[in-house]
Amino acid sequence: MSITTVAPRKPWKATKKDLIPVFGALALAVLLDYAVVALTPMKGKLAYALLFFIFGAGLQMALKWRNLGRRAAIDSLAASIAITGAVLAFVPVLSLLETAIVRGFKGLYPGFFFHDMSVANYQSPLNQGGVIQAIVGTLYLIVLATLISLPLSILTALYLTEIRGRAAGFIQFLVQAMSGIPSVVAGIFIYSALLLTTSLRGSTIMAALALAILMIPTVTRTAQEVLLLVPSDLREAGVALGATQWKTVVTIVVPAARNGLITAVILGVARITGETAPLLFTLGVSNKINLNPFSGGQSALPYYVWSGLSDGTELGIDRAWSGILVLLMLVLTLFVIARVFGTRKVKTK
Amino acid sequence: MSTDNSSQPNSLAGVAAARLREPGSAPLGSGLEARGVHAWFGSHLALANVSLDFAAGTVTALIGPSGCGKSTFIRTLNRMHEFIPTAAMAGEVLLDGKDIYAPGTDVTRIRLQIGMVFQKPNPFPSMTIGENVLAGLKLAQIKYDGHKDDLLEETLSRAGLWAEVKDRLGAHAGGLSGGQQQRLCIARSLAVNPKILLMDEPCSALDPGSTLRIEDTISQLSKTMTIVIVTHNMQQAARVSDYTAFFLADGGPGQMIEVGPTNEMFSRPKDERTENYVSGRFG
Repeated sequence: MSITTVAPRKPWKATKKDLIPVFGALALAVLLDYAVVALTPMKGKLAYALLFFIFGAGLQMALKWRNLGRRAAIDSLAASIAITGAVLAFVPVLSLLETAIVRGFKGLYPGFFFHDMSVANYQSPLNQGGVIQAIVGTLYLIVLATLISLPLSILTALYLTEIRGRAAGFIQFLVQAMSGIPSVVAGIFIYSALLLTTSLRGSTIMAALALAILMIPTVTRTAQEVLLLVPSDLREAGVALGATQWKTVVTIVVPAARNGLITAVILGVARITGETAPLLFTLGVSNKINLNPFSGGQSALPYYVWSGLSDGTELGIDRAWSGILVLLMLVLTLFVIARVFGTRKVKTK
Repeated sequence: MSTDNSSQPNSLAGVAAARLREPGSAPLGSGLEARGVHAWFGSHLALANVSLDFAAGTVTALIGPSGCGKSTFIRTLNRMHEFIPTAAMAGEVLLDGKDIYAPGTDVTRIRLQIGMVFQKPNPFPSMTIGENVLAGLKLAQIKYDGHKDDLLEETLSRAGLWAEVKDRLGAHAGGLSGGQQQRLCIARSLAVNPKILLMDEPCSALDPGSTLRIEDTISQLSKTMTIVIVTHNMQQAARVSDYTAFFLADGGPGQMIEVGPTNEMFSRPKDERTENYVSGRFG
């Protein structure tokens, strides 16, 4: 009577034996697919994909109908449609990523990350020049735009969710209207309001202001949703302990929403990092590293990509793809850092 | 549990009589006095004309069927009622003789003196057990002169939780069981040393063991503070309270039907409706 005689099982999982007919049907669908394409005038990738869906889903349905009846057959059809939908959604994303990696890889060499474009132009051989000035510029822009927009956005979200003051309806309307602003308008606004009318010239801070205009509504609306998820029990508990509303918000509501607020910032950064149009009006130009955000032109990865593409030569376009790849890597790195940094603190505290 | 007891109201009265304080024992804490309290949600009158005295150092149980305004009433006592955007009220609530709704009253000071324990345990999820207990000090920006560890031990012991959590004060509060979380919330309320403690069905989500612990805690606390407790459990009302007030809505706004010493309320209530309720004939 040993306790260990009973082995743990997962009866709800499909066994290997169950999977044989499923894969058999899929294989049959592939064969039919090839046969039909070979024997009929239907040709091309699209024909393969469409026929595979029809045969695959049909055979699975038939199999389920025979074994389990009509409801199971409908369930199988719904599952096939859902899987197809998921594949359709992923194809463009993966295709984009693949193109960026394949085409971008061509222009990459170690020096690409350490050199700037003062030693080369867009028609130089691909082992000359690099994007260090654009990486620095993009990091500057992200940090500055976040510094400008984060306090404004979080405070606006707090006003809208916690204080719900008299102007809340109007501000909500403004935030919604702002989220619809085309990015080029943000650039033109800064250009006409600050650059045309004063002696200021294009610089990092000007571009960061334009980007902040785009970032504020994204962060505000996400932060608002996240703050609304904090149970009102917690607010009541705080207030019932004799706290002011501000103390309750700072000590309880915001820490409870911490992870969501980090997501809000990530979404905001994602919104602005690839923006090119506002930069054209506000960034000035630099092909060297410029560490002063308040004066002198600056570079940025999207700007580098845009320049490479408008250069039009084969080498310029190769450079642009490499810039895109670097931008993707940079964004991915930043998001991973934000996630790790954001969640670790919650756990160890 | 309730069917068993409600058929024998006299046994409830017996329980209540057994814990009645001897007359002449010194009143402790502060008294609270509700005068003509009405409460509205929007245009709906939820509670009409409740006048009730809570003498210092007593435990008062508020009983009555669901929707009779008990919770609404208790929330008017520390100005949590106004937390609901459409809420309105009329009447006075006197703490040490002063109306807590008087113009110019600092509402945070009121809530500091009149603590509250909610129906659902609501520990702060971003804080550890220890931080939760001391959260009130931080939130109300109170300077605590003594040793914070001593305060932790003292309040957690008073809430009957010290033995269970003393080795894991740094753990997250979310890992505690429901009963432990509720006692943690009681400890959190006690840490700011309120004169009065309002408890809105504190045991409704708890198992009998945790319920008994919290009732013990209430008995201990009643030596130093005034307690008002809303409960659906009449045995609990009998076990912990000195006075019982019976609320009833009866189609209209909630009203207080009757108040009296707990043993009398359960043995010979004056109002027929109270009699029906405590004997389990309705509600």
